[in-house]
Amino acid sequence: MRKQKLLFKAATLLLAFVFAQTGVPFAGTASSSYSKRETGLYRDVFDQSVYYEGTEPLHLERLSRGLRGAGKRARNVNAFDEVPDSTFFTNRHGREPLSEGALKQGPAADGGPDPGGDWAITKGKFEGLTPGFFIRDSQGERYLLKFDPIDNLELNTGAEAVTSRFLHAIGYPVPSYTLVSFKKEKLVIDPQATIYDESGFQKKLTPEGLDEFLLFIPETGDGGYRASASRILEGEILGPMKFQGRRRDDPEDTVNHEDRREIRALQVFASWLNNNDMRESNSLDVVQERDGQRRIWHYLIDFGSSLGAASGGPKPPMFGHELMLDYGETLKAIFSFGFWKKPWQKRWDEAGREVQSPSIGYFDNRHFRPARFRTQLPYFPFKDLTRSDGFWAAKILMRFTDDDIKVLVSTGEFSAKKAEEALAGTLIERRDLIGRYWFKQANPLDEFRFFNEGGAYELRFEDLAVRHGFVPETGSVYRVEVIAGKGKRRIRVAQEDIQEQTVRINSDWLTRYPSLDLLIRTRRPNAVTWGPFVRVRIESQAGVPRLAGILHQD
Amino acid sequence: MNLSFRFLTGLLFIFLSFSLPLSAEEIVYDRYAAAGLEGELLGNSSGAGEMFKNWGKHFLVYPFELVRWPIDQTLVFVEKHHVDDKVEWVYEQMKNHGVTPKVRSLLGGEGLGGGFDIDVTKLSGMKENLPNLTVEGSALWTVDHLTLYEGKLTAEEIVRYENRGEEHFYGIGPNTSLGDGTSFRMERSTFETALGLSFLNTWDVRGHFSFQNVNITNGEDGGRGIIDEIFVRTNRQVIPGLGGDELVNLGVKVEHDNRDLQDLPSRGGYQRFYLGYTKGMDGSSGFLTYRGEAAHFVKFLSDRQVLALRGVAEHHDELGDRQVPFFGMSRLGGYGVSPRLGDAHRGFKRDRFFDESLLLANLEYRWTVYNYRDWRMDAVVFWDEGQVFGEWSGLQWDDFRSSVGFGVRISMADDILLTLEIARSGDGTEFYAKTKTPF
Repeated sequence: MRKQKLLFKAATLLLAFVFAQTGVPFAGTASSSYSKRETGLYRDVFDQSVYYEGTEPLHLERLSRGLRGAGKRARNVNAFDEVPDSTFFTNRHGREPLSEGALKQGPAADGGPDPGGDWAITKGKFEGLTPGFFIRDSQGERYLLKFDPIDNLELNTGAEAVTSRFLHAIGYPVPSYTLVSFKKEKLVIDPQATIYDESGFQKKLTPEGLDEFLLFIPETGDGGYRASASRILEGEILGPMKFQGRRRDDPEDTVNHEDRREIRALQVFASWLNNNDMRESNSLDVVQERDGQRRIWHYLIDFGSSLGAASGGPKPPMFGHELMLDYGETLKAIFSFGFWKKPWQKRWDEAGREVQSPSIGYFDNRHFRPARFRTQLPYFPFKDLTRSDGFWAAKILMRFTDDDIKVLVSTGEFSAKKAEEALAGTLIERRDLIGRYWFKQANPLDEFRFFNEGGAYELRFEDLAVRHGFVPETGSVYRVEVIAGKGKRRIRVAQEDIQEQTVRINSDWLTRYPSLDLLIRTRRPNAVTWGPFVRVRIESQAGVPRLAGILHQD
Repeated sequence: MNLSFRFLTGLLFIFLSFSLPLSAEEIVYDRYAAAGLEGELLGNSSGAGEMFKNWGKHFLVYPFELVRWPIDQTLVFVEKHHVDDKVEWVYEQMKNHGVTPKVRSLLGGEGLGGGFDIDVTKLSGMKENLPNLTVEGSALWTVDHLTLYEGKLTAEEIVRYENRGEEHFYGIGPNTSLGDGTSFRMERSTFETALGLSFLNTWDVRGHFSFQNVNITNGEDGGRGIIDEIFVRTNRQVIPGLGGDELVNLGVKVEHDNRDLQDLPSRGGYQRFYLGYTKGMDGSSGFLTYRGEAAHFVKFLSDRQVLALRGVAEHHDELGDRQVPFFGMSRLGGYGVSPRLGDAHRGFKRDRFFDESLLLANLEYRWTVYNYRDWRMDAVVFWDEGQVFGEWSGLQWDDFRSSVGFGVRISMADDILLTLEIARSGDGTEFYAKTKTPF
């Protein structure tokens, strides 16, 4: 019977197609100076999994790059291979470690809905996998309350609280997410409150309707309810951010989003936080006025499907391993005639086909390969992630110490300490797996500092792989090629293999050449080949040298 | 002295080693500066150069954008206005009120179409007063003019009317030619009463008595010869039942089914036995039917791999000098599934072979290739081997026909939604898009 229902739905979808073409107005206000955009899961799935996957070979530039195996360098990085602050990203923990208090607070500076008065439900969303409702607290602030599945108290709410703080600390604009516990008596129904129930029709919310809804929400030990309260963003909502292309109506949006490093790096952060639901419809462009300036901020939202959680319960076993429509994996499975066991199948079997904890869900590091992590949908920027993009993301996440991670996980307020420790342990282990991987892909030399010692110049750097214990402290060799000039006039001035993390610059070179490139490659103990390079540029102006650029090979 | 000097020198060296770097002047730079971006920024103005560059990169894609745009609009419309929820709700409401929409299967001989199952008792509001009364009917229409009305007056009494405008016929026996294909129209009205008993969750016994009126006329496909001309006049064959008949049928069916799932079983199987007696009112038809069918499903190496094996044997035994009408014979070819279609031999056209008996074996190896929540896709390779024949003495090893093929089956919550299969045989290649598996 389900089959007939689906076929019937498919037939009526055709009618909707016709209806949708007749000019039914979509959101968009004539008064706004910004264009608005609407998308959702259905459109995202069609666009990314069907349309762009199908037409990708027709993008000549992508095709050419694919054939050459060449990466495309991010275009919003500065001369020092860093991402400057913008409305997309603010360097936080990567620049200067945040305090424990700042980590815990994250974006939730408001502290959540006012616990003092009633919460008026203004709108409900009772259908679908993640039901919730909008409330207005006694201070007039609006929040979206979202709940856990009936058998998994703390699962989605905890994931949302934890992941939002991680992403905030990393640097992304994120709304405030606060965990709240309340009794039913706290809720009042606004006279104008409506709901979309399972019929798909909008109805007036009644006390009976609310009671029915609460039947499917898990109760806490004291007979109350737990929810994640997300503060409704102030400002003009423009709809989801595009992960490719750019807004033509935003003077600050000057780089195509697929070429933005922080958008590409979402793939790495998603792999760490197991947030396979990273998609356009889980983002929001909002016009906000800050410090007297009206700008479009690009928020990430909705993290209830991160860590071990997914909509409706623990993460299904294939999540994070395969795309929603993974043609490559499916073809491999077809041509292997079932004799090849997919990694997620191995992992699920090894886990005894059981989730580890109802509140943590399904999250471990068995068969986790950083480069093999898959979000649900295959966005171009995630495909375009280069070595240096991955390295940039990895060095930020390696800034989170074990204690930082434990502090952030504690914001999930999990009642089972053992589960909380397991979650923190998984994140710590996964951080190291990701760091180890990307520090091997790129040359992990960073934190370059340039010194003048009475006319003798030194370039000092940190080998992050050594610092984090991924390679032995001794035995790594750094080959420094000194190249002067630019373009076809480049000449190699010197070459030296060193073991210390300091390069002494011959002052004659600085006198003779206005621009010097130090091309540094690393060879690890027992390795026979040299890895990718880091290019450090030193320029002299009026006899005064300065560090002018850093570039990790893509 | 020498030792002291060395000691002091050492101290001095250590002091210098630590003090020099501290005294070195760092030439600082703003690591996070917005200035000096590595990439060339696009700027906010859409210059002609940029437009031309973009056009050059993407011009092959632009035609497809014309397709994407309306689909995107539709999907956003559907999601925003909860159209899918509304449709599901409407479907449930219609069903609860006695009208269940149905969509007919796709490619593979049955055509595309739709219709309704109608529960008259629910529709008329009699269900509350007469909960045991069931009056059901269905009206289906398909593009190849197969029209079918089916009604169930009570739980065990069935009234059915079929008007099949284009049934294919290739002759009787295992060695017929595809080129001799003809078409005929079969109009069949069935009145059936049945008594069934199910027990132990796996056993089902059902006895039935039916009366059928069958009319055979020329098919609607004007390009094909009619049966008389091709087989009777030209090939001088005897095709019994060409004039139709009125048949009385009495039968009993015993079924044992312990499959774990109906659509995608991975263990268990079923066995079905049927014994029937059929007699024509005009005195020319009369026969006994014996049919045995067994299928078994086993996990193979893992629960993601399943071997499925099915065997069918059927024989129609003439009563005295009476005959088996051709429309009541065993039939082989096509995808099978419906009880009124021939048994599955997928490399051949539907009802490709007619005769009094058949032997058939279907072997499938199924493996799961995709999962997403409740969605799943299985791949299948299959081998069908079978033949039709007259009497058992006519069974010839050389008359067995083979089909091999490959397919994928998409299911949701273990319910098959779509199966796409391609099969190859000596006759050629057949494609199927169905909503069921053949067994």
